[in-house]
Amino acid sequence: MTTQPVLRIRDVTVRFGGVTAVKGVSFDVAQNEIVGLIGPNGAGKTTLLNAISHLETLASGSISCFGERISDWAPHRMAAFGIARTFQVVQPFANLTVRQNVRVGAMFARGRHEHVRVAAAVEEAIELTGLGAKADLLPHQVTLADRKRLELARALAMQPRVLLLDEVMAGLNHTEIGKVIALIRAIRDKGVTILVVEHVMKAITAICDRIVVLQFGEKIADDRPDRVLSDEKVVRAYLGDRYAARQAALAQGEAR
Amino acid sequence: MTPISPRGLLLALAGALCLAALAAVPWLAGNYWMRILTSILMYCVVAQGLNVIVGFAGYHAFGNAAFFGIGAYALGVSEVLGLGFLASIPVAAAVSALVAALVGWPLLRLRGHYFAIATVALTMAVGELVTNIGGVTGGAQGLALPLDTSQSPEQVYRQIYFLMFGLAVLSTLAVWHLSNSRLGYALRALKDSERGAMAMGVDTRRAKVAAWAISAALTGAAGAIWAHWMTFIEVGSAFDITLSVKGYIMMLIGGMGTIFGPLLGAAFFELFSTLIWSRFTEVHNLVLGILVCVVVLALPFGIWQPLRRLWHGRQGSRA
Amino acid sequence: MILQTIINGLLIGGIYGLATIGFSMVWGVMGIINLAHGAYIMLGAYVAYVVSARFGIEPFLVVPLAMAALFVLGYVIQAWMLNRVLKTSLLLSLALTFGINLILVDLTVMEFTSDFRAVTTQYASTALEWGEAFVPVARLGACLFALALAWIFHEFLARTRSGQAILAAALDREVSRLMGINPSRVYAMTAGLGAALAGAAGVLSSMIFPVSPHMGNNFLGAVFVITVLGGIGSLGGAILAGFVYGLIQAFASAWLGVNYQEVVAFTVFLLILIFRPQGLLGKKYFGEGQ
Repeated sequence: MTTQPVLRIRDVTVRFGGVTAVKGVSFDVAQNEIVGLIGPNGAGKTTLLNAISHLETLASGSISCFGERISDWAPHRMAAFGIARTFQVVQPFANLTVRQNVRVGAMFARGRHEHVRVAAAVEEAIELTGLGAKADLLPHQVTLADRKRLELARALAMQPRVLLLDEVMAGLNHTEIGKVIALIRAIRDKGVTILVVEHVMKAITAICDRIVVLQFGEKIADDRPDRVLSDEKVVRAYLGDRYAARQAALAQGEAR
Repeated sequence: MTPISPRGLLLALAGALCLAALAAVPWLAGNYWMRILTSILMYCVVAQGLNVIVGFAGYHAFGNAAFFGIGAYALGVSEVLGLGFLASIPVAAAVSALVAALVGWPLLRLRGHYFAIATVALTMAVGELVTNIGGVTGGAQGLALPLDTSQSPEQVYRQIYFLMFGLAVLSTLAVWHLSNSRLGYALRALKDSERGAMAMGVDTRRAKVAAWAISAALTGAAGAIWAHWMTFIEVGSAFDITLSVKGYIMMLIGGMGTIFGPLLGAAFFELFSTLIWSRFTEVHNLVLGILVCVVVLALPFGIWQPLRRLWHGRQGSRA
Repeated sequence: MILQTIINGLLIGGIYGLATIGFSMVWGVMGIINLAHGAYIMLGAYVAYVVSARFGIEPFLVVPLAMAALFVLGYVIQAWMLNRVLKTSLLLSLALTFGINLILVDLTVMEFTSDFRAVTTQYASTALEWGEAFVPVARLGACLFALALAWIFHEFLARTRSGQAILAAALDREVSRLMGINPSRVYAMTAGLGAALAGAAGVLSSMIFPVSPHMGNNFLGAVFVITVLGGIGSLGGAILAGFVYGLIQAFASAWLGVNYQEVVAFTVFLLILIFRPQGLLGKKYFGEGQ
């Protein structure tokens, strides 16, 4: 067990135009941990994720992965290093089949391009995400849930060491969410470190070891799920002051 | 590996027959047809060159004719300086590829329309440059290539025919190999989503530049052989934007991004063009224009896909 | 000498600007690069030639006629042909307009042959004097007329409903549709107006340059550069860039010789594309994602 965190986010600030979307956020993600990143809309979660994968530039602060500063790396270098991410709005390659989409991930990740290894990685990713039956169809021919799974399969085929998931549960129903939860657990079991941005609470509480909460670009909590969710600040952030006050009053009333 | 179906076997046989027929042309058909076919094969190469950068990478190099001219002049200068014809062809291809790599590095950062126009500007600029440099390039007077006196004209034309034929086969093989190779996947991915490709580890800049270099090498080689064929070249015809446009339309008619589409398109277009020229010299451009309009409006995706669907008898497109 | 060069450049620039507005608007509004735009200019010049030579009418007076004729042509071509390939690729609209250009040019060759024609006026060789420089009256008149037309078009865009619809469609195709603007009609309108302006530019240039079926292609090169230089879809940009281009050409011609005109122009062009693709006045999103 390495003591060095896999992902180290230090004092990260991201601005666009006049808006400061992320303000001095710091936290670590340890080897093999699953960390959830939550917060109300506009809190800066996706922006932070974009900053990590260098789709946004940092105004200040630093981001390191496995000890290397990745803040100004080109996306393809990050991919080769072992960082994969999914996108909130899935964008598979429209003119390639499911299998071919996954293949792109396998071919270009981590310097691998031997024929056999690629094929094996592709099949493994497809099997893990349950896309076997639809592997030869084009993305527009499969359901949204399948496309989300394709997004995951592509990321998996890259054999990442760190996986960034951006609202991968959005738009899925009850059963589908359950399947994705199981999938994420399986991925972690393979040794991958995962950072999950999510709105679906049930999923977050089910899979995360730790939860980081953002509000208005700032970190307001960073702890185990049970502690974070009963934290007054977090409740207030999500449900507003009146709800928090009512809850507090209720609690006081019970105590009496 | 998928087993070879009887249909597949039939197609392969047809293909082999075609190749054999083409190889026998100089003895079967007359000089007139050999010349027409040389032209068709040349356009096959140009169309395949375009196929690599446009069909696969999705970058509309409308001015790819620049490399045709560069190849032509590179060969011309090379021959004038003493290097033989056959040795000059790879030189011409290499020079074209080099220019593409150098110019492509900044230009391929441009998207869509901008890149298309930049390539047109490139064609015109290089043409002007060649004219103004003068000296060994012959400048505005054009360049006369040393005549091959060791062979009879017949033999020379035959040699040129076979070289074009070989180049056409080579370019098709290149495209075939590309479609399954790592570079091919990189290009197809970045064509659909450049950002997505980058996120998955594709070095898109290198892939695009490589594609353009390959495209340029093929186009340049075609230009080189053409230069030797013409024995006299000048900027106006070597750097003719019409070449790019015709190549585009052939690729369009045939179906871009496919392996054989450009060949079909080149054959169809050039045959049609030649037949009309000989009958209706006056209205040549008019009919050409009408043909282009009809094709674009009626068959925006080329004839290869519908043909293929007919042949395979099933719905849905294969990637 | 410098003053003369500047004057030459500016005077020709005005006409270039007018010639470019239509092309730039069509590109900005619909994402179509109209390779037949040069032909529209050429046809305008021929209208001037026919009417002026046959009836001896002052070319300036022919402008409305040419504009009307070209408006109809541009409108019809857009409505019947180009509107159908709008949703497909860039490649197709380029090929289609190329085909249209071939047809128009060849029809003109068939009717008028490739011989050069001229539109002569009484004041063709008159020139005003300004210091050491000469200001040809014909060119001055043409340039001012061009600017006046550009201004009228600007007012049209700003004040009329149709004009506003065009601007809206340029800014955001989807949203304008939701607001009840019929895109097909707007596009046809834009194309018609673009062609009309090109026709006007053609009439004006017939007073200065010789008229031939292939003059359109020469113009097209300049129009391309000016469009990108000024910013795609920007009227003000087209005018401004027209002047800049005229000046660049004039100076290149004066200092390096007529041959280098094109090289310099294209080099500048490539440089713009690399360093400031949005041009002088364009917004970054015009022309992208089309």
